[in-house]
Amino acid sequence: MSHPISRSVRRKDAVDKAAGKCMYLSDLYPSAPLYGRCFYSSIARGRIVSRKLPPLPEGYWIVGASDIPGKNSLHMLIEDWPVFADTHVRYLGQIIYLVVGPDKQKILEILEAIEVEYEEETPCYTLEESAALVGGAQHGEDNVYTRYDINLGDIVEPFKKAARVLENEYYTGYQEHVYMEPQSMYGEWLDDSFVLHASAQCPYYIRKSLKGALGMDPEKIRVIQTATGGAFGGKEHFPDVLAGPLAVAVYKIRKPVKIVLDRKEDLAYTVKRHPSAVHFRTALDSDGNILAHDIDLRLDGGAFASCSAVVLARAVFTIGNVYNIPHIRVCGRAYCTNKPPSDAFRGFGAPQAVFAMESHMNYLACETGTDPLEYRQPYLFKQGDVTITEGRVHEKVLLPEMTERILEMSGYREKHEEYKNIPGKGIGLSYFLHGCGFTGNGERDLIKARIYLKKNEEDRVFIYGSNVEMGQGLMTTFCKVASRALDIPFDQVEYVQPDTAVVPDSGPTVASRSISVVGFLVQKAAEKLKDQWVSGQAQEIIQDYEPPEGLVEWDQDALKGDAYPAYSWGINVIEVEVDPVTCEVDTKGVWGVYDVGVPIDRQIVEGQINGGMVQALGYSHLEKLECRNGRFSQATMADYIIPTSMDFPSTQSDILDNPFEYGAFGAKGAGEMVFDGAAPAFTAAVSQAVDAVIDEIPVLPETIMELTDEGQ
Amino acid sequence: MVEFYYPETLNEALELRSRTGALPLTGGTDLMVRYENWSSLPPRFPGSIMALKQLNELHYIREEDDCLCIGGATAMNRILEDPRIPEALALALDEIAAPSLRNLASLAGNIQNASPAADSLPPLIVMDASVRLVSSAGSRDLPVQEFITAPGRTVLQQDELIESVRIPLSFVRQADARQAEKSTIVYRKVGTRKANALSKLSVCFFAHCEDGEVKDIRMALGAVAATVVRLQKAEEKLKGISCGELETVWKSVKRDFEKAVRPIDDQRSTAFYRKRTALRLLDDFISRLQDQPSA
Repeated sequence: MSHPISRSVRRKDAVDKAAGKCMYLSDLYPSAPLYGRCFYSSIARGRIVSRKLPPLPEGYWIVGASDIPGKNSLHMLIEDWPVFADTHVRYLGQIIYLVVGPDKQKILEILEAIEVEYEEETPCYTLEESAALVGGAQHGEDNVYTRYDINLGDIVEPFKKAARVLENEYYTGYQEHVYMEPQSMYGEWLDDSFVLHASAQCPYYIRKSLKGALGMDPEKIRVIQTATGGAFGGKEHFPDVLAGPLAVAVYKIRKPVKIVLDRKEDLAYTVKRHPSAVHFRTALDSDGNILAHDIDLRLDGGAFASCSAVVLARAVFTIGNVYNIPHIRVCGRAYCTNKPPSDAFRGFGAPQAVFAMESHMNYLACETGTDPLEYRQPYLFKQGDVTITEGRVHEKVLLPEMTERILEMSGYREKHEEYKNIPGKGIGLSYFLHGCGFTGNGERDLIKARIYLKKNEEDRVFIYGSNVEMGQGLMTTFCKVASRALDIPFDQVEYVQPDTAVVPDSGPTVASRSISVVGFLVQKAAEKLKDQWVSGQAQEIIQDYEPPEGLVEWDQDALKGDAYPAYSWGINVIEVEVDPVTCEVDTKGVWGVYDVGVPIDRQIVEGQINGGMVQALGYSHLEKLECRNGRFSQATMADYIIPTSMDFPSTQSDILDNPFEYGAFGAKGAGEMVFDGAAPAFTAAVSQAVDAVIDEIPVLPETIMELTDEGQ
Repeated sequence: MVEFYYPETLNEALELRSRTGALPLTGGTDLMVRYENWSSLPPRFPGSIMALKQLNELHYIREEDDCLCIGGATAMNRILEDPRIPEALALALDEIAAPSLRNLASLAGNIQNASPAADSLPPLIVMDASVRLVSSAGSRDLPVQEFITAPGRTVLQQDELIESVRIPLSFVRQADARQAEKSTIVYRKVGTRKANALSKLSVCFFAHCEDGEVKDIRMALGAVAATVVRLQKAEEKLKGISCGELETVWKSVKRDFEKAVRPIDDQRSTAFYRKRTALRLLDDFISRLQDQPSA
């Protein structure tokens, strides 16, 4: 069924962005009284023993730890990440100083003249080195930022009576966000306040992070979001990291300072997606049926905790994927290593978990001599089933209909059979889900989202919230929701640019929560305004978050209950051909069928589907990012390989209808789920084409050559 | 002090070059990236620079002295559009970066930059192309294979410029032989992605078979050693062989290539992959020749 709200409209930002009129930070402030550039640590781990600073000309500053008015820590989840490295450095690229001045050339000369002497300590670069406490523990006593254990049912008995136990381990690599606009911000001192203009996803996060460092009342810290040219999670916490030094500099100098990272700096020193290693042990009965899983899930968190705990939570809660398995044990850990911190990236732990589970299902199917599609069917979630955290699948599950649809679109069944006898050709499939909104009680207890809806005397309606437009279409979808609920024209509604002095805190722009959680608040507020509507009069509605009813209460200590109120669902099929000489992979077909509740705008959701798919195929196949001795080997856009429009065919997709009671007009999240499934479908296809087990991404021609060519 | 010169004639350019040793810059697509600076600051050139793009004398494609000559400042896209360009070179140029870059980049610049992964080099070396180097004192011609000595190094003297790239017309005429299905040309770029990519390796192979016999065979492999690998002595061993025996003889000749192909691990690929792929591409080429219906 098609809902009227799904009909596409012209996006609010379409013309400005297409015509190049949209003003990004560097357009708003093409020049600045002062520029800032960071002095980064050149080693991965060590003690700073001495510093030699050059004499400074008038009007130049070297700002560092001793200039911080408050605490030398940024406040993300915990406060381990210093604003400036002071006595120790924990990764190559950690900020030690910010050099500030009016002339860029002079700043570069000052940077080159700074001498920092280190006493190097042995760094740990791998999960194994971290667990072995190489060089001594750096976080707590065990280098583990966070550990989450899940015990669903009891795995002891099933493993005792198992006819067979199969095990394997799966690995995923780094990924860089490559937002088109690099990290950009401009800070100034106005009256008695610090004002920051930033390309960022979470204005209130930045304010919270700066509060302790500046030792200032949060009301005196104002964060204004500027048009954001892509983010993908890379502007969730990293803006905190740049805003710290910038704020300290502006606090000291009281003049405007601009920082825009060059692409190479951005590639080298900003946060990346968490690499993962997931070990599965699975107990099978004599017919090959799954009795229980025993899973060890490790994430490489890098040098500071940042939001690794939450990424780990999502990975652990997603590892069961779409399958109802009654006995699962998971030990999930995020480790500290001496590499640039890992952080949020579209999917947020789910792609790593889905890759491991789906690859493992293929492995089990192969080992038991079963067709991978058929092997999955008995375990697919149904409404009312128990989740890995002993919550429930509350919604109707459309997986059978979605399966039928994607088989029909892709011809998977026939091709999978046919390619068994054709070397070099393969087709693969994956199932996946993505929980909408913050994990557990996060929405109710931590975020407590609030929005305002204001109407002026001309009856124009303005939505006030802290969620940002970053290319995903939020200002359009929010306005659609409000205009439809109010039954007024779309053009009569506007979304106010987030500014902490003006908008309430509706939470960060993350976790597939914007439309499903905040969008629902917009709808409720609009319905209230409609009831009270008095034409020609200014009116205001304040709408606070109210948790959905009927959920299984979340217990954060036991990790039990409904981890998410609802899930978005997807199935992908990918078809490939592998060159017999060079092992290059040609992707021949890409299909996706999705349940996003109700698409608020068909074209915007299709944009997410296409973009998410291409980004995920890049992650699966092209985007090799190796960290050697603490430094990323792929240092430029010529060597960090993101896909072009020539690399993959467009995604053939369909969206099934399944309205969510507590989402805006039935909507669930779409931005992340569309990323989650491509990698295992791609590797399954390659695996069939070259007749080898593939348990790691990115799967490059080099990997395939090593798997299939012994070098004779 | 870094100076920027803008000569208006080739003579003026040569005089400047011999006096100042200024670095020649044509399209700038390598130099501007190599010396990239903080945005809005001028590039960090190590010395003075002279622009050559504006010299009309270096923009031409013409036949002279039994060669197809391409002026040193001629942009890759202009070369690509010329119907006289041998297919081997056209195939390579067509896969270099993107059209916008090829509007700026020159073929001579690609040679002088001397990257082991420069895509124009395998076809140029297969065609026995040479460069004409000019200075105020005179000029000399050198085969491209001898001109490049190491990654980033050529024998260009402080007072010299590349006036033109010269491709023997005898090779250009391969097109006629191809129409008679007597010759085979292969260009294969193995890049990091399907478009706008740098090469992991690239190869150019050529063979001319007539009356069931290998008359000519040439194989050049880029990015698998410090400079492009072309083994004329090994090629000689394959000439005069009947097509039916080719695969047998190849087995012993292949060892020469196994020794010469000595790639490295880097941020774009691995030594193992480069070596295996290079040898597999060679094997594939030979077996295709073997399978050819003899004339």
